[in-house]
Formats: sequence, structure tokens, C-alpha cells
Amino acid sequence: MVISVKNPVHSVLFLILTFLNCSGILFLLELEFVPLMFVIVYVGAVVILFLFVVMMLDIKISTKDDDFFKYFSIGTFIGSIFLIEILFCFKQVFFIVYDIFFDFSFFTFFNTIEIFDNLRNIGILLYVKYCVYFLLAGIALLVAMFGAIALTLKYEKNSKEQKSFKQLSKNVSSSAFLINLRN
Amino acid sequence: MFLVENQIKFFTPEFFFASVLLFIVLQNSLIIDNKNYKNPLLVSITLQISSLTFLTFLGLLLNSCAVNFFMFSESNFIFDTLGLNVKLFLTFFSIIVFLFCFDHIYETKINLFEYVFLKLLAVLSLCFLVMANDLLGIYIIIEIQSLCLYALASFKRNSAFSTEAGIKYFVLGSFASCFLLIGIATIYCSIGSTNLQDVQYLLTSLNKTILFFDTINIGLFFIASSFLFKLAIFPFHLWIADVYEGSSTSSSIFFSLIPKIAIFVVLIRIFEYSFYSTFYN
Repeated sequence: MVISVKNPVHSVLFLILTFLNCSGILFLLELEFVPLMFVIVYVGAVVILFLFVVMMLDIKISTKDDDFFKYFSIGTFIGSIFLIEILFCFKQVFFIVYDIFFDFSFFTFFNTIEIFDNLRNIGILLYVKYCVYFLLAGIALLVAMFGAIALTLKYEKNSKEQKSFKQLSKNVSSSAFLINLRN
Repeated sequence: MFLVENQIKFFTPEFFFASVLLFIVLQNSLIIDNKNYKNPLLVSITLQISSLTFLTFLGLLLNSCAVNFFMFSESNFIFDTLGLNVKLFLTFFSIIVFLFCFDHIYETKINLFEYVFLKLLAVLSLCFLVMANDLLGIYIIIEIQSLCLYALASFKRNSAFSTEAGIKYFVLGSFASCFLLIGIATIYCSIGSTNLQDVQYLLTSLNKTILFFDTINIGLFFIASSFLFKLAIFPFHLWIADVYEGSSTSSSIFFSLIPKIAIFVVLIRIFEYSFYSTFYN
């Protein structure tokens, strides 16, 4: 639907839907951290940005119906090759899953142990074990910001920078006044 | 929590250094907008603060204890005499380099405190790099250090040579870091740990006929090539001529000397200390 819908705004909305579906599937697999990141980063920031850009640019609705049959044959050929490859790759994995679910002859101890869940594990690793590296990553972001500012900023007298003193010293009597137009 | 409290005690010189850096940022951003100081010489203030900082840092380093035992098997940083001595060495040489740079900075009229700030941050990250005991951490710290150096190389904004040097340094340096990352990924794939201490224990206890030594060697090849690139040693030395020529003298004197010491220590740590048994049967 993302590709086939003609209105670009609708296709971006469908993109959000696919990301939400993807995160839902990952939630069902009991991986909490990755789908949360999906929702926050992709849906919350990137796709909304796309949506704004698409709405701003005012792209016309495309009316190309012929392309579908034009590329149909070669598209299905390449797609089927990739599908077969993926099926070959995941064949063994699926069989193992099948065995675990339907063969009750053995008892998996791994499922009985209640370990920390995914989010808590990542939190402990990030803020306790790799605490110093986390701080250093923050320093790396600071360096990137400083380098970019120092290399690009020009100090000009007429630059439209924010003057906080002027902003704060405004009050109602000095900023809002009537102009008599009928003179 | 025991682990964290126990480790933070050893980081006092570095934490002091980092807090001074934040202080420099705060002070300069307050001064630069103030109308009482018309056109303040930011660089001179920052240079004076930095020379004081270096002396205090040296004192703290001399007072800090070098713990010459292997901390925990899971520790991310190692505190030994090699690291301490190299840190002293680094601070000593960076003081000398700063003294060299004083006049040149005044002559070229770089009135931006970021110039000194980035140099100080590079020295701080190199002090962390000397202690790093984890390949992941080594990658992060090398990235910080090289980001500082890219900015320093292209700091002379009105000269085309300087920007060219900065861009060349940036592209080639990030290429080298990519190689480092590939090597780390390969080693993690074959061993399952990035901690240098764990790797040493694992490799000395293992039988030499196990197959994954080939993948370890490939990873080590990538890591070695990236470090040789950073150090500008023989097969990867052609980039330095462009970069050192183009960038301003006070920054090229810095990154021709200081980072080399720390990266050499990392090279020793990786090849002589943790992956020792892959070379000698």
C-alpha cells in the first residue's frame, strides 16, 4: 500500500502503519527495546518529518497506472529469487521452532528461569557496566556540536541573533500600541 | 553498584579535567555576550586556564595510585603502571605543545575559545584511550579524539588549504575507523567478547587447532591496518603530507605528536597483551 497508493500523504501514513505493525510483531516476540525504539525514532521523528516535507512541498498526485504491468514480469522474477533464498535460509530456523513448540518430550529450563526482561537488562548494562562509555558517548556528541559550530559560525554585527535582554525587558505598555490610520 | 563506586575512585584526574572543560564552555559563553568586556581575548583566557589545568592534572596523576592488578574480568578500564606513565608523558608533551602554540595562536588571530577547548578534549580522550580495556570503548574514544582533530585541521576558515586538509583528514580518518569497526565485529563474531582481558584468558587457554583462529587473524588484520593508518606508518602514510601541509602549524604540531603516543599504547595493548597467543605458537 505504501507504494501503490497515489496520494503521497496517504503513502506516508501507510508507512507509519507498517512500522507500527513491525513493532507489534517484535513485541509479540518479547523484545521490548527494539520496537520501542522503532516507535520513538521512526514513527515519532523520521516519518513525521517525511510527512511534513511531503505536505510542505505540495507534490501532485501521480497518475501512472501503466508502470505496474511494464515491470511486472521482471519484478516477479527477482522477487521470487529473493523469496526462495530467504526460505532456504530460514528453513532450519523454522524447523527448530517447530520442534520446540510441538515436541513435549523434553523440558526447556531456559523458559522456566525468570531472568530480567529486555529493557531492564539493557538499562543495567548501559548505566552500570558501561557507565563511563555512556558518558564518553555524550562527550562525542558535544565534540561534534562544538566542531560544527566553530567551523561554520560567523560573528557578524547584523546577524539576526536572539537578544535575550531585549526580549525579557519587553512589557505590554512598550510593545502593544495603537496606530491611528485615519489621519 | 560496588563495581561502579570502586571504579570511579580511579577516574578522579579525568573527571577533574572534564569538569574544567565544562567550566571553560560556561565561562566563555557568559563572557562573549557581556557588554562590559568589549571584544575579549577569549583565547588568552582559555590558554591560561588550560595551563593551570594541565599542572593540576599532572599533580593529580602523580598522586593517583597505579593498581597493578587485573581488576575484574568484566572491567572496561585497566589501571596499571603503563597507563599511568603514558598519561604523565602525554600531559608533559601537551604542555610543551601548548607553549609552542601560544605565539602562533596570537599571530594568526584565532580568537575562538573552541580552538583550545578541542585540543584539551583531545588530550582528555587520549588519557581515556590509554586506559581502555575494551574494543568497543577503544572505538568510541578514537572517534572522539579524531573528531577533535578533524575540527582542528580545518580551523583556519579563510584558507582553502586548511579546509581541504580538514576534509581529506575527515574522509580518510572515517574510512580507517570503518576498518577498525569491521575488525572489532569480526573478532566479536569469532570469540564472543570485546573485552581484552577476557580475550587474553580465552586465547591462552584454547587449543591452537580450533578453526576460528582464521577469523581472528582477519579481524586483527583490519584492526592493524586501521591503527597503522591512524599512526601514518608505512603502507598507509601517504595522507599525512596533504593534511599536515594544509592545516595551520599550531594544530599540525599537535596532531603530529600527541595522538601517536596514545594510539601506540593501544596497539601494544591489543597485539602484545591480549592477542599475544595468536602470533606465537
